[in-house]
Amino acid sequence: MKRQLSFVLSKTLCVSLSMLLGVSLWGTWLAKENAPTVNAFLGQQDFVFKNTDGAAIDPIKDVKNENYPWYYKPAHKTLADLKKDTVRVGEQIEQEGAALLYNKTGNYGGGANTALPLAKNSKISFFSTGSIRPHLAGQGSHGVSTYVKGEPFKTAFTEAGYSVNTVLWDKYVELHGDPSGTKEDQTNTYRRDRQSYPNGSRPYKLGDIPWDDIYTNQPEVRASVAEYSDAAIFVFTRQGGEGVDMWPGVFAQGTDQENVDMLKLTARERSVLEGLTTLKKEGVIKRIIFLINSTNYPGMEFLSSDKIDVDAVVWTGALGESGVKAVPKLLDGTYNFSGSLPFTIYYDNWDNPAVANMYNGTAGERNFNSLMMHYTNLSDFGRQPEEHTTSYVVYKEGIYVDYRYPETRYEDVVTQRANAGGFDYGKTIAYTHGYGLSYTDFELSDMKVARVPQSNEYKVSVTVTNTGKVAGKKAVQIYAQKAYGKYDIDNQIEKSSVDFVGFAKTGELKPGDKETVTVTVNGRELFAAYDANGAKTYVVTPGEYYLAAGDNAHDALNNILAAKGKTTKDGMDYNGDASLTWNSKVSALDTRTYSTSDQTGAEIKNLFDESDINKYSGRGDNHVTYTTRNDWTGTTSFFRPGEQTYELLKATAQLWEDQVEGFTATEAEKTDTPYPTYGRDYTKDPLKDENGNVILNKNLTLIDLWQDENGNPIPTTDERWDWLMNQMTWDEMAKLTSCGFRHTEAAASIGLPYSFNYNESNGVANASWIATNKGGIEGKALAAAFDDPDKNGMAELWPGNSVITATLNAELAEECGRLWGEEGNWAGMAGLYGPGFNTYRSAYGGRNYEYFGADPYGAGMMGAYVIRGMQSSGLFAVIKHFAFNDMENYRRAASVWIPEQAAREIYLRQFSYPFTVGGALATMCGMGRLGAEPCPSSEALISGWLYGETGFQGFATTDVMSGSYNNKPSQIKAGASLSDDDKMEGQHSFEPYKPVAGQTLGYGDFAWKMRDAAKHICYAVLHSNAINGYSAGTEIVSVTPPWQYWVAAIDWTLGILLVGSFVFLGFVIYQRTKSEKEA
Amino acid sequence: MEKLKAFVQSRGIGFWVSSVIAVLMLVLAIIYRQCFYWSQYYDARTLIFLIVGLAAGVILMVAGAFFKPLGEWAPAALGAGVFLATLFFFVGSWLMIQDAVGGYEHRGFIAGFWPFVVMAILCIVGSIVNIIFLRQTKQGE
Repeated sequence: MKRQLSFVLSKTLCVSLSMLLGVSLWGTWLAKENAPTVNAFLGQQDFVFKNTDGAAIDPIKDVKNENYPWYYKPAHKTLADLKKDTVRVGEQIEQEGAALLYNKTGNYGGGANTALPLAKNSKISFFSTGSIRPHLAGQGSHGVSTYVKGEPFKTAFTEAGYSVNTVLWDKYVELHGDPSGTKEDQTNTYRRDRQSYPNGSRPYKLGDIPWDDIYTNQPEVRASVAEYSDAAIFVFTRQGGEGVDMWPGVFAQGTDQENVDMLKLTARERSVLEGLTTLKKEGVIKRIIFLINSTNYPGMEFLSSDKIDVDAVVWTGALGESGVKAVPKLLDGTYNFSGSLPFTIYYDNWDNPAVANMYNGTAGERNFNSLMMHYTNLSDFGRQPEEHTTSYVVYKEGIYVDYRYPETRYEDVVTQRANAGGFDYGKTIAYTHGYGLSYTDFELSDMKVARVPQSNEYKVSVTVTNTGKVAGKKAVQIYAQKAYGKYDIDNQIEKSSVDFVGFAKTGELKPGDKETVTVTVNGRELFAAYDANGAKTYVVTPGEYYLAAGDNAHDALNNILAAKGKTTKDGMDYNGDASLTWNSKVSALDTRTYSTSDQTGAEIKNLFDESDINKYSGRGDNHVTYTTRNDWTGTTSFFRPGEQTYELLKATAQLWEDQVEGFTATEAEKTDTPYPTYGRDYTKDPLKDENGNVILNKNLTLIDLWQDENGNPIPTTDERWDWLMNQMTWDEMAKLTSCGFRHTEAAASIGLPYSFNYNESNGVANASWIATNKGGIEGKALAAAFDDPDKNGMAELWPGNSVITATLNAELAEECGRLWGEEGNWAGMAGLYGPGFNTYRSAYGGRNYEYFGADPYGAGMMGAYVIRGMQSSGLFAVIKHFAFNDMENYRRAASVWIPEQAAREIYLRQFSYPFTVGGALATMCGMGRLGAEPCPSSEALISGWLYGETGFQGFATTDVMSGSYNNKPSQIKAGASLSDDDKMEGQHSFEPYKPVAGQTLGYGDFAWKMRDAAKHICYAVLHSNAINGYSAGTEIVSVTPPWQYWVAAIDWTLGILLVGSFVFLGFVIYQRTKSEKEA
Repeated sequence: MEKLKAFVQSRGIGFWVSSVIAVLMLVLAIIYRQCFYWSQYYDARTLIFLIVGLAAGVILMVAGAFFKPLGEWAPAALGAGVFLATLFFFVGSWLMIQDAVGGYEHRGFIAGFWPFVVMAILCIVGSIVNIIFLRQTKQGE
């Protein structure tokens, strides 16, 4: 018995220790494979600073030293000072970005003949759960840890002197539940949860409280509303987020949700607005204000309902924490509106052609998979629809995104182009791009256009006069119209009737004041269009070209139509002003002037044939008829639930191979290019010129390449960068380019510091000053280094990026960026994974709040000013998601099929300004595919367009953990530099290409690409606050972080114990055998 | 035939448990190949350890007919194979687990995930019990 027990015990010991050792070894392997993440999590580093010179400054410990070498010195002395400015600018962004869309005229008492402004100290009632749970920011990477802190609307309005109906407010809180709570409550049908996922297991619901439940059956509420009756403010919110778009239909679940479109009013919301309209008719309340607190804007069809009569419509976008303070001041006239919508609002979002190819309207099951568009013949390949790798989206609408569709079709109806169809602009578009009213009136006049001699630039000047009664600012908008003629039709070049090409904002003008603003328009914006089928470059086709000033896109178009002699008799909705236009005639086709890059001089030619399904080499029988203005009725599709409105595509053998198999193995090729130099030590092996004179006999550090003699950045094409890169080892380069999860690695050989990069889209919102930075360099976070009294606080939560665009105030945008950079410095962040520059194809985009808008010029330029500001403060921008990641549902590995003209003129154009004007130092590639190829592995996109045409010098990284469907060597080959991924398998995947000692030939091309990738990363880090504190005497030495010793000790201990347990087992078996034999 | 009959009759309960585990491991390998191979969550090491463990276990089970001590190691081979396969299964599925538990997209687990997990746990627990408490041959054989 005793022996049996010993036997069982010994076996148990062996099995347990075997499993423990197995887990321990597995865990050790996993931890080492993700070493950079473990380092960051534990706050340990694999490098230390060593001063070669006793007087040298330690970059982390000596921040307070008066000799500390600052490259990006903070402009603020304390966090309190910084906070004052971020609050001020945050509020100003909302002040100048919020757009007044409708302001009814009538008798509102007290001499007021418009609904707004309200009288000071008005008594108001808030309706909708959106009021207690407003949209301050979004979800996901731009994660706000609590949805709502405090009661932003109530606090802001109260502080501005309003009396807020607290009886009603408290009733909303009581029925909805704590608005700051993050825990979803599926049993409370009133509750508006942050984000619900219609995957069948978590029902989607918008919640809110119907009229009867919040008013009719609440006597105390009824009494209070009668008292707080100056205005009923209905707050419309929708909370967008990473990973999930708003749905146009099919999936709404819940008890009484009649509408199936997330961007239509729900039955409950309608009941409230109808109830308020009844109260207004009865004289209980004076006015209804509809506040669109959302970057996912609603269809405005309810405005034509005879049961709903709102008096004012205001768009605020995502408010941020300080922006909300501007809202009451805008409503009572303390501030005057001057915002210009950065997108177009439809009466019905389904009338936006882009939506037709965003969702599968026939989906019956309530899950993501069925909503997406999958190749129709998956069973031929033994496959099932599998969310990402089997799905695609076709950008059938081409360039007709946002206002370009309705404005162009409107012109074609007025000019009676064939097949324009029965398009009624007035019934389709509620508010166009650029729309925004004011409390005063402005007159535009004296438009002059002059070409700048010996250039392709045009100066456009317009005089703005305040003809109203109160002060205000005015954003002057300039639009262009390109000729659309026979060559365009024959070569399928599409041209929008209006194209936003310039803007300028006046200062504050008092009544009677005037100001002349001047806008510079690049000739390329005015004349060039991309000809993907004929000349295969940018061309200028014969015909008339126009520039027009206007209050918005439609206004500018009407001015152009007036210049063409059109009036309301031709079907225009109002007569335009031809004096606000300029035109120029082009008589012959020009395929040369704009056929090269302005930045690099490189010849521009087709790069994206393989991403156009009609040209893709593996297209098979697939063919898409893109939308053309030559035949609107025959080529425009619209989303209708229950109908198949999207383009059907079949997978072909080649497409399948490219799309599914291609990313799993893309090997580098052997070439005749010699390997670059690695690990050179100039102290032992000096650099000499052809005459044998020594040029360099000491090792360079990164800081030596900071600036040239004139104070300018040293470009990466300078030979000194080659000298520096010669010092790096292969292993350092492999690690630097493969391990980049929200950081970049240090490199001892060149004194490259570690950089901590934060994942946010507008500012470093939600970051705590010190807790967020776990890179083991908290000391570099100035909040900690200076032991600031507010170091445990958090950075500003900024208004949404599209609100910045809506200001059309370049100086304000740049100031905002400078403050983002400042915040980064205080938080120890050198880079920001943001801002985002994907395009609003529709109102449904889940991450619209992170992006700047729908128009490439307006959104791109305003974002460029922000980047200029943030990088001047030492925070480098990693703009995202490059490119064509315009929807969340398809972001992971799904294919985007797009014609090249649209790719260049809309989606890449919005990115081009941040690179060329803003000077963005980095970019994050989208997770999806361009055609069949993952974006970070697309040579056309990265090497061809990004580096080849924009002159970009920074680095391109993947999105997070893209290694699971992306291939690191293929990224390097394409020109991408970094993986947002910490698996060491990336570094391992480079091993086959590593030269052995003395080897000169092998995978030379790949090696040089990897070296370029490393150089680009070094360039970005060099121009960030990561280099604060570095000098010639600062050295970085590699060390093993302490945790690796600990895990090794655990492994060895378990191993020894295991051996011991086997010895014990062997002894027990021997004893058993011996006693059995004796028996 | 007689030899086969004798072989079968000489097997202990542990042998039959090993047989069940071996079949389950085969099913696991099929599930994994069918459900995960085309996805981004596939890790080849899972399949390799399953197959190697299964093969080693079966060989040892058969070899036990000729040299009894070898047969006693069959459960260890099977258990080690499924245990290591499970560890790498989680390496490959990590992104999916992250998303399903608290990620931005909350897409849930793909088909085959839970069947694999349940069967793997059964195999591991069964192997532990088999190794510690059960005999592969009848006492006295």
